[in-house]
Amino acid sequence: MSVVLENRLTMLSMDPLATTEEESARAASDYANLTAHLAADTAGTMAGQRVVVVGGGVIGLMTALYLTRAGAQVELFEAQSLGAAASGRNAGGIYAFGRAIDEVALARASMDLWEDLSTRGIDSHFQRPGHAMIALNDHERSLLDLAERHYALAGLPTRMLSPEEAVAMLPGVNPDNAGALMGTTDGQGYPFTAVTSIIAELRAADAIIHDHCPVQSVIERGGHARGVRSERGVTEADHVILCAGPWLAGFSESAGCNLAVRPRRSQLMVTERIAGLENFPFVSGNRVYARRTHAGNIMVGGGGPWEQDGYNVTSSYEALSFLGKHMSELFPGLAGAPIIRAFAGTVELTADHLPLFGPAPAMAGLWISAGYNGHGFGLCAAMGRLTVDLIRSGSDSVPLPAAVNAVVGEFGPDRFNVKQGNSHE
Amino acid sequence: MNDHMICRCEDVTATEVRAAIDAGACNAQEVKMRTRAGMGPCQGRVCRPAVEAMVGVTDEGVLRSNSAMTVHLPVRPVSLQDLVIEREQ
Ligand SMILES: Cc1cc2nc3c(=O)[nH]c(=O)nc-3n(C[C@H](O)[C@H](O)[C@H](O)COP(=O)(O)OP(=O)(O)OC[C@H]3O[C@@H](n4cnc5c(N)ncnc54)[C@H](O)[C@@H]3O)c2cc1C
Repeated sequence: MSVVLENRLTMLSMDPLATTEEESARAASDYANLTAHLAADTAGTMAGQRVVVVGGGVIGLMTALYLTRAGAQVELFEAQSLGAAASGRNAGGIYAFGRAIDEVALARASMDLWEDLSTRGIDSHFQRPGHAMIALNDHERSLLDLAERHYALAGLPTRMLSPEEAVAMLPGVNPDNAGALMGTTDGQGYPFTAVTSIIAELRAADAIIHDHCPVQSVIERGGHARGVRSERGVTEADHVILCAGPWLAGFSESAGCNLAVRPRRSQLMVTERIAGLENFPFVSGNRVYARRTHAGNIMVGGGGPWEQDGYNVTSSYEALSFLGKHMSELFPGLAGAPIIRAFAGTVELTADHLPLFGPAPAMAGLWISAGYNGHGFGLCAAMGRLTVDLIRSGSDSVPLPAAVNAVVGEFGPDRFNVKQGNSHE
Repeated sequence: MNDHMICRCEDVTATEVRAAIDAGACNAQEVKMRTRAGMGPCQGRVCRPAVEAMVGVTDEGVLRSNSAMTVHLPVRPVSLQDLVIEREQ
């Protein structure tokens, strides 16, 4: 009788069997080209341009930050509290390891930008304790062995831990584990301080921020976005960028394409502070993930298709019980840790798990950056920075640099139009 | 005599709460996001009334937004494994 061993590796989005060595090697060269491109100073390149940013999550705020650093005059609108939707209810993971191979270059570049920001005024508690994917059976272990080769070709530093090494490095882990693959440069940060210090820099640089002020519509004249309407009246701008996260679909009509982003609940719970786990990396396996916060709590999460669609952010007993069970199996040594808090947020899913980033077809000067499929905290630094290139490609006729196009070329926001199918005009 | 301890779990003082409000926080949840008040083991059971009273007194004298600090499950700390055992009963 053969037993089918399940794959419960939480974070391995790459299919190591379908990924080719050419694709993996391309991730390394894409990263090198992107890094070279990002070394250029953007200061002043957007001087005199007025940009309205719609949405004050990490994507909107980080976009506003890089646009402001490039000299644009930014006005940001947030419907509710700044950084309080998914952007204030996430696990703070900033990682590349585990990503599908064509996202690795972008995710690595974003980690580097987070690190750079943390040395230039943004208090994100950024650190790189690594990310360990833990196998609990031989099937998972064989997937990790294959994945290791691809990530190595992609240039990501990794290290395979034997079961004994995993026990030594991951306090409390199941001693019957089948080994762990560790991405040694993966990072994490703290959303609340990051958001607070981005807001402070924006205000100091005279960017205008309106919170509790939803944008009602985008204003178009002569085929060009001219600003937005809100309860404050009309705000004129040369460019409008929609960073509305899971709410993006509401702008489909203005954008002239099907902005198919679907909201789904995802839940987290947090233990009391636990002493002695100072070097605990981000860990994942057995359908859950966990990390140590800078304050010393362990945060445990894990969503999936079994979760509810929509904007409900109350914790459910089923999910907490699921997280408790799976985390206790993965880390029996932490099973007695007291849970002090549980919360839920809304992830923003697209059908192909790629974001929507690029121009809206309906009018010039309208741009989209949303739908980050539960990866937006890590990616926001790169996406914010690349928005400078994106908007310049539409205004100064500076074409999108090849190094940028190589990593965002698949993200065109109009790609779901063909699949719409059921329109009934 | 401004520096009363507001959140004992996370060591947040009245001055820090006031600074968060001055920087734009307009409800208890926004104060929590800026200061960690309410994020310790008692989950705001002690400090929530004080923080909510402080945000109520803005320069404009009104609450701009009425969303309060979220009350999170569990009401009393429960261990990871207890969450499981209770389900299996
Ligand atoms: C439980 C959980 C764990 C997660 N863990 C991680 C992780 O470890 N690493 C990671 O990288 N990502 C993680 N994520 C995903 C990450 O949080 C999101 O991808 C990211 O926050 C998306 O940012 P955003 O700004 O696009 O969206 P949001 O944070 O949803 O912000 C969108 C904002 O737009 C505003 N808005 C909407 N409509 C309008 C309008 N008409 N006018 C004005 N404003 C409007 C909303 O009010 C909202 O504040 C997690 C998410 C959850 C829920």
